[in-house]
Amino acid sequence: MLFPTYLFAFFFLPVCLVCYYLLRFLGRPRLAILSLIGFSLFFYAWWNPGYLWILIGSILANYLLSRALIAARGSRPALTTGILIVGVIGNLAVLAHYKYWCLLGGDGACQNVVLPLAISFFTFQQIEFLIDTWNGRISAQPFTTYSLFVTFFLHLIAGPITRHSEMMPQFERPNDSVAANLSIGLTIFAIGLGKKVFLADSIGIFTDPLFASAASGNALPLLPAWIAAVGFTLQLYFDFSGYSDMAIGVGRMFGIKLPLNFNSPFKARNIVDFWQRWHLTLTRYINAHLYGPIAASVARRLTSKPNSFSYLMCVMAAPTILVMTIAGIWHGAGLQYVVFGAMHGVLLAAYQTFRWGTRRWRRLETFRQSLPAWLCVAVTFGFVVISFVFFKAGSVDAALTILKGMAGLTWAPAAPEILAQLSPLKRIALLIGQEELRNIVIHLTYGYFELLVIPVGLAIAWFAPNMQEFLSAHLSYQAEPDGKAASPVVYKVPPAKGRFDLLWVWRPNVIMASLTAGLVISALMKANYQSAAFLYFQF
Amino acid sequence: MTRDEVLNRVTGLIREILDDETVVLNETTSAPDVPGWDSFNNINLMIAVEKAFAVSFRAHEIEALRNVGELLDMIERKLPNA
Repeated sequence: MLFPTYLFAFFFLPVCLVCYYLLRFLGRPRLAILSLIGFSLFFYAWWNPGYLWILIGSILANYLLSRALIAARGSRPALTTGILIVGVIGNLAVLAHYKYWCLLGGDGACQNVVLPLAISFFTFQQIEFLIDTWNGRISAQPFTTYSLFVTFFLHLIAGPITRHSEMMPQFERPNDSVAANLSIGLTIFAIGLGKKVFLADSIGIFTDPLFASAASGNALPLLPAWIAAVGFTLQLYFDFSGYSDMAIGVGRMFGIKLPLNFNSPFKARNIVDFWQRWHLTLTRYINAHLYGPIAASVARRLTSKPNSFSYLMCVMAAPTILVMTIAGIWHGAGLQYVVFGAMHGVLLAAYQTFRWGTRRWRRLETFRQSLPAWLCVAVTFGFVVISFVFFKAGSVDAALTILKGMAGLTWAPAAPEILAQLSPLKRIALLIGQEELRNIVIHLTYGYFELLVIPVGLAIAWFAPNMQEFLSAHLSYQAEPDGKAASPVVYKVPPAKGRFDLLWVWRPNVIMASLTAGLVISALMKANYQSAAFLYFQF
Repeated sequence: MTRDEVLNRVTGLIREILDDETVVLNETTSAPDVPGWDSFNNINLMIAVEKAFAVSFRAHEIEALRNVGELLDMIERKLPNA
């Protein structure tokens, strides 16, 4: 089931909310949790009931492992670590089986693989759960709350990657009043829905055929190549961050605060900054369980000075490139994902090396400070656009075809059938065939009007406040449920933009309520006649 | 060693790592509040703290830290004479 459908918004979600709150108010919190598990399994099975067994099997196996860890914890450290290793390898083996087994099938076998829905997300969350159980952060959990933690339909499909210790205690101590949660939650949901339906899906109409054309070996001229690359970058951002916002919004309707997943990534001034703004819960996960442990253990073994070049290479560059390459490979079987990950690893390492240089040589630091902010943002965005070409293209060859086009190296005029792939041009090409001059003019404007979504999307990504800025006064991630300060990486809510406060800051009033309702209904109406899957589902 | 002394030493270490004498830390400061305090410099800081205070941290202790106050708690907990 998809979020932007009438079925979800007008049936599944309301029924689920009413059941949940009714059972809570009747003093039956355990039944309320059981009902959410039931609804979540239904949500998952709606897609493909066959995969339900993989999900249930994975939950059972991991729950048994966590109980074994608790039983062995304290008294038998070697056995505890052994169980953890078995658990982590087992989870990764299942993930690898579904993702990479196709590589043995020869050329093209991986193109048509259908993964069990959300397998990466439930695998990651359960591995982290085992690690947290192993190190004593989590105590013994009832099977019901564990099942809900994994299956809860909000984050099950595409994140945010949530930690047990940040989410589950909230079911015992719900936040704020139901009315506040419903109104704030619905507003966040509406923002995500708008991003997905009006921006991401409108861009996908012309990026998908362009990438498909490149994948089938056609050269792309300069302008369509740029439209494809920049368009897809925007499409992925609005699609994925829109999904995250919808998940956060629905969570809030249940009184559950999920971690933030995006913070205006295209406003980043360098590539490190980008990863501190893009897919935050994945960055947090990678830092906690891959980069941090690897870099720290390397650093402890080194004898060179912390400010030396060799230290920089061993503690920063090598682990960063390794970890980002792994993150790239996780996205799918295919050399293009290796290139995507390695590219980001090398860029991160290059930027850190540059910063290392600026700390040694004053003139380099003066040069760095003289760079205008807009140039830093533009260069960072450019790198990201190029890397996402590899992410989207079905192969390295297809990616290079598009990059050649972007570089202006494709001099030959494009074949008419390629031009026809681009929806606005398609109409023009068809009409030229019919020689209806009047219609050409009409459709020319209409065709380019469609492309306007790219500058509009860019303007929104660069200049508009993001969801958490818009709602900053009402998100209040002051503390996590354990009473400690909220983790800054995924809970830092930026202050609203001062200049536009009156215009941009959300308030519970009739105007905002009407805008939210209008956005939800118009988005659902638009989504209803053009169904498009979320991009991040395939991971 | 008092908590203020620990805080001052940690402040000195992060200033040296970031090469920025203007950094001021307090109990509630977290990494995103300080420009340049990224995951690489966070590891540098942890290693520097381990050396300066002759303590050692486990990976999961490092990733669980949410602000400077929690770092100070952890250092004080691990100091030999605490």
